[in-house]
Amino acid sequence: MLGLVLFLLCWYFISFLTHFPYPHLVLLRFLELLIIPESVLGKTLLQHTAASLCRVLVASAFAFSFAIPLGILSGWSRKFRSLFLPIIDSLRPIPPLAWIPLAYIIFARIPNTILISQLFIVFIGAFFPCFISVFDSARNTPKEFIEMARVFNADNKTILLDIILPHSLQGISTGIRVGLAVGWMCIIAAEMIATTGEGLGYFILVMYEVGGRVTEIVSGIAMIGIVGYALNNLLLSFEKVIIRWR
Amino acid sequence: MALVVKGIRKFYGKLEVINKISFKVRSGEFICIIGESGCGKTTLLKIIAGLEKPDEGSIEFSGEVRIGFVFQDDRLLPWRTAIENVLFAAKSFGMEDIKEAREILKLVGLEGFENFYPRQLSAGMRQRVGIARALVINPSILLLDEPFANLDAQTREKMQEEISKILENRTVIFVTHSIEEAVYLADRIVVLSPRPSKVFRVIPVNIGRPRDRTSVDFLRVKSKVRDALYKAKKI
Repeated sequence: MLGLVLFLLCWYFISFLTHFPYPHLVLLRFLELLIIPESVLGKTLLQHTAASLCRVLVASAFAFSFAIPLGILSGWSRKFRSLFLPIIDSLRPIPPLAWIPLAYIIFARIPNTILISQLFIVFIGAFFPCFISVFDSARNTPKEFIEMARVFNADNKTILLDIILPHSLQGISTGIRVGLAVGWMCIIAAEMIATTGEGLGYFILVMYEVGGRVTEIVSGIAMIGIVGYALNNLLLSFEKVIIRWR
Repeated sequence: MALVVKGIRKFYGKLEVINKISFKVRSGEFICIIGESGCGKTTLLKIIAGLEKPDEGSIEFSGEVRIGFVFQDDRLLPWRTAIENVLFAAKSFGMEDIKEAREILKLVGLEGFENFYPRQLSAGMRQRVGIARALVINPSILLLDEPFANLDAQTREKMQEEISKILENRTVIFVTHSIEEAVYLADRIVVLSPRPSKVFRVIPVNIGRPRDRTSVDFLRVKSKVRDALYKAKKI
């Protein structure tokens, strides 16, 4: 709470010295933008947010549905790991944003190029952190548990589903949180490069291009922060329900 | 004869852990294996359980083999409740029966704790779950690897008293480094020499149960075991 007050004080101070809009003005404009369509693009801030969020959720869900099984298999099987990990490790250091120009070219010939490219970039952004997190926790499953399972005649399927998978739930949860956060950053950037006519990133860019409308830009940025914060906390409380044995 | 351990030898790389171990276990007999730490007691149990292969020798079982194992660290799955942990062992044997699992937990004194997670249980209670998990498959042989080593002295004595009743007439191999524990529980005590280990002596404990830890007979066997352990170190 004190941190927030301090932050606002600094903001007021900076606004006082410069042309930066005052917090209360931003707040008023923000609330206004939420429900009243902004004149240039003709859409409310909520519509832009929903558009971006939908893309992130779809593409991330897609990324997770690959990253989680692959991470668990790589953590479990040495063969699979030696086959798969070198590919992952060589692609992983490439920043997702570096894929943006390429993606627009790759998908140029198919319908909905822009939308597909954006989904692809979020996919890349969300996949790797999730994979690494799941892989790490699957691989760190105590071998004592596996030995115990073997003593009690468990087959590989049981070991995978009843030992490796539950042990990896923490990694899966962290992976989803980090993956979504990265995906959320990616969509904003991707929307600034090409557009479908809506989206938070596009909104911010247009507000800049029509003449540096700082209040609108800051409103957009605030929205990015709010959504990111909400996603993270939502998932954290979800995690507490799922991992209830701690 | 329930099982015969025949000339087991085991190396870890170049390190010879077990030099030669042979002994027989009769059906319904409670065997304690005692020896100083690092002498390959756990390795021997793992070989008997089929988790590791010996470099020489073999284990011969008679009749149907079904091994129950109790670990020193309880190895309960933290994401499963007490009863779910018991059921985990039963599953692969096709014995998933909640009523039976409840019954076994009651036998080890955990009635009412069926739905507790391991972290909610004390060390002693967790080890009880471990024992229940081994018992639920109705094992032909029960292997226990220093199951009470991590418990405080009082809990330990109590657990010894209970387990001696619960495991009556079962075929048991119990590894320990506590002389008193061995004398309290065993029909026969196998004393191992230090690494690379051999069977140094087999000491029968012909004392009726329940045993009195302060009786003359008890103390005499105890000093016999202590003496054997001491001599085993010198060779």
